Amino acid sequence: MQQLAKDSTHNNWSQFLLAVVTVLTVSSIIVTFYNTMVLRNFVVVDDLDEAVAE
Amino acid sequence: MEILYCPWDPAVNIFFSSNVPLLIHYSHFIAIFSALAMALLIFMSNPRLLVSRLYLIFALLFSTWALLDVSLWATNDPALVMFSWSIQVLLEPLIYAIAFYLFYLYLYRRPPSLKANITVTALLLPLILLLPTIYDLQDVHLSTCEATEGPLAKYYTYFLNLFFVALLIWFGKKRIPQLEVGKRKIAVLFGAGLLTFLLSFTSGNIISSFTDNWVISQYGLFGMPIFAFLIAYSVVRFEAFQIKVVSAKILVVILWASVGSLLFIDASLLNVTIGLTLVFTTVAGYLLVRSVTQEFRQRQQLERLTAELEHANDRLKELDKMKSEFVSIASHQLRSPLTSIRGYASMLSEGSFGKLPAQAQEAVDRIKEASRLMSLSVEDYLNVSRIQSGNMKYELSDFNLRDMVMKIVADMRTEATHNGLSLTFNDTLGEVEGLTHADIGKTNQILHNLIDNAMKYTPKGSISVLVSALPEKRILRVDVKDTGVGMKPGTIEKLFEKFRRADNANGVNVSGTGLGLYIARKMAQDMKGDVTAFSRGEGTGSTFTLTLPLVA
Repeated sequence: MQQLAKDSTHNNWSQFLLAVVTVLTVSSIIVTFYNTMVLRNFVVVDDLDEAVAE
Repeated sequence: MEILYCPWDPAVNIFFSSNVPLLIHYSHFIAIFSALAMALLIFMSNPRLLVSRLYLIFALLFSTWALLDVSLWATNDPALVMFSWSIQVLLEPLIYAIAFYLFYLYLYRRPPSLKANITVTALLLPLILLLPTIYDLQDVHLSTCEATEGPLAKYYTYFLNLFFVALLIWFGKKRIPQLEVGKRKIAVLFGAGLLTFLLSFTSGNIISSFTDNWVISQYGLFGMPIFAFLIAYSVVRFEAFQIKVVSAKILVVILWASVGSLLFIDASLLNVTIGLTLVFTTVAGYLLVRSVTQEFRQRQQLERLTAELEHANDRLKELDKMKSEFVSIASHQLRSPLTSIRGYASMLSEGSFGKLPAQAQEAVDRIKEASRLMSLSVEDYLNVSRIQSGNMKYELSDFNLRDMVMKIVADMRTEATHNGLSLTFNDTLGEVEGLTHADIGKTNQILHNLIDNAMKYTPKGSISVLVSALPEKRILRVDVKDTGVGMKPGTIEKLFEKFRRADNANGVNVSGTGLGLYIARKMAQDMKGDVTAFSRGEGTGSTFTLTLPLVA
């Protein structure tokens, strides 16, 4: 019985962790998407001329 | 602000462009297709199994990774490069983590402990939280549309990947030797499949990260269908699914994908792709042929065994018939001399040849009793022989069962009282007369047998006989309930087999052939009735029930 109760507490905490990781991951993906695809907030190294020269 | 693009045509339908090396589609789409197809097959075979679900998530994440990879090759938009690349950086360690969970679950049949879950979460958090920052990707080069990886992408993800691989190996080494011998081999196959999958998945990436040659990383994906197959196969074997059916489906899916993908291949690469398809076909074909051969051999073996069994069965039937004949002949041969012994013993005992001395009288009485028991046994053997040969004759007629039971109880009461037992009769027939359609002599014999047994196995206490009816089922029943030695539930059905007696019978009653109940049940069944027994356990008494058809 005690073991069962312990297992079930572990399960609850594990599920909570999984939920936290999922929420954070999805948020992070959304922020990354907004940052790159919408705001285009990144550095573009214009090395086209160098590439042509090479 | 002007939006800058890489120097090639924009992608068509996200995945196609002139910039994509020709082998990329072939390597990626087959890998995606085979991983998804196998995961779905496994999932649909048993959707409730955690391993099935996790394998599907694993395949989905891998497929997303591979699709993003193709889009990275095709696009000329630096924004999409930054986004897809970032998600790939995130997905890689997640795929490794799930591979570890999959293997752990496979080995231990339960999820890892809370401590392990906390550790994994803590390790993944920096990656998740810093994903949108320059610690992940620093910038993108316009000439190649390639990103410059930051420390997170360049070092931390590879550390995580290696960490999960190490965990996988560590748990595998620890757990596999503890498994049953049969499962060990499959577990090794599963672990090896996963490891090769992971290594071929990122070994190219690791090399590419440091050499900036991103073409190399594509070759690892060619092995993917085989590893996906290995993993699926071992899951199927380990979980005892319908192995052959699922494996055949998987093989056909791989072949279909390999041949179908030839349609998308550029003519200049046709030889390479046909070569690869040939490899898949050879492996799959070999496995299918082997499976069919095994099946064929097993069927041949089965047919041979069936023939042997049939022969053995015929021989057994013949032996049984011979045995029955022997018993029948022997019993008949015994019956005539026994009749003489009983007759003369009776005459001696009753003084037909003059009065016997007391000692001789006692000896003659013993001869009389012993020969009576012997003639009962012989009668039993003859009855068994008749039942088995189907020669038992029944003269069916309507008679009142209630009256018969009442008479038998009255007749046997003296003997019961003599043994210190009370024998009572009761009926709950109400308006039912108690008429049945059966053989009077045989019914009498069965009832005598049941009451006699109750007396033998009841050292003290009472025996009650109850006649009742179940009019809706057209059944009349006689319950003989005693307060005797009782029986274990397991022995009840054995009682009705030939020469079987209850385990505790010998302690109470030494005489008896073990045929009485067998004969009683067979006779009752032949008269469309039955004899059944019930007991709550040893020392709790028993109830034997005779049922016969109800006429009125």
